[in-house]
Amino acid sequence: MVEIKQLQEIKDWFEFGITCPFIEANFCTNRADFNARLISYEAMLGKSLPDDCKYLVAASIGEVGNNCFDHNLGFWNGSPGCLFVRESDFCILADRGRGIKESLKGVYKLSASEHSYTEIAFEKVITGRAPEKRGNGLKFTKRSIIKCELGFYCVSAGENIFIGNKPNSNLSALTNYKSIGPGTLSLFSFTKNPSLVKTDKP
Amino acid sequence: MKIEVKKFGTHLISRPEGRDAALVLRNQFLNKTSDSELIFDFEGVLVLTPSWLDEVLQEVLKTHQQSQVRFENTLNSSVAASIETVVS
Repeated sequence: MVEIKQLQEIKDWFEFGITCPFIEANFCTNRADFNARLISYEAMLGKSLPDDCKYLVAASIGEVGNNCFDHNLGFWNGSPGCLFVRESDFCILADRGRGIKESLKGVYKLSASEHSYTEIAFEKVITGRAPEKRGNGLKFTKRSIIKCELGFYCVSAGENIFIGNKPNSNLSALTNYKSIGPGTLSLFSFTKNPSLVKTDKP
Repeated sequence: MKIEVKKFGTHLISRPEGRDAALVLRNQFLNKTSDSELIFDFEGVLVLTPSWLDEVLQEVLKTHQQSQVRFENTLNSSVAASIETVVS
């Protein structure tokens, strides 16, 4: 079970690159390591989610986790890799790469009505997001979260987005956190709590 | 020609894995058949992502029309959602 202290350790690593045994134990240095941990995580997901959502959420976590590697080659701030904290009711994925804004701004200009590259990443298909030929993974992730009535939070370079249910308040150390540091931090919350306010619509 | 997708794995997640699968598909299957119709059978696949499928379909669509490609056994939620995401 992740404690408040460990949420602080995640923030310290994400923002400043300060590592510790908890970070090292949950750090995937390469894609194969991440994919193996994702497959073993499926059993734990099955305790929180029905089969339909279990596979959909596993695919969504796979998309977000693989983005850590797909978009940061040559842009790591410190050790290459992806932090993958796996719990029964939530998971956290984070990298110290270049972040969504840096990845997107070479191929997309925000219009006057658009405020955030991070929101755009979850809303629009943007062809040419190098090195991908098509950028559908985060749109797929958003639809999956809404369909399964789960919660999601992402922060990258000072831009953040909530999708679906707001994660539980015991994770507020992360969801109140609007890091301006490099990289991308995402949180999937599997707790269905109808009393929580929905912040986004399909 | 029917392709049993589970022979590429039950968890088809990353873009590089999809690229590898696309190359195998090209060299071991597509270059060795004159069938115009291609059926992807997803029976036994547990987790599929749009990234993996996108890499495979990009290779297939170099030589096949979209109308020549069919999908079977797509009840798994990640399979259905990935097809919807990539093909639509």
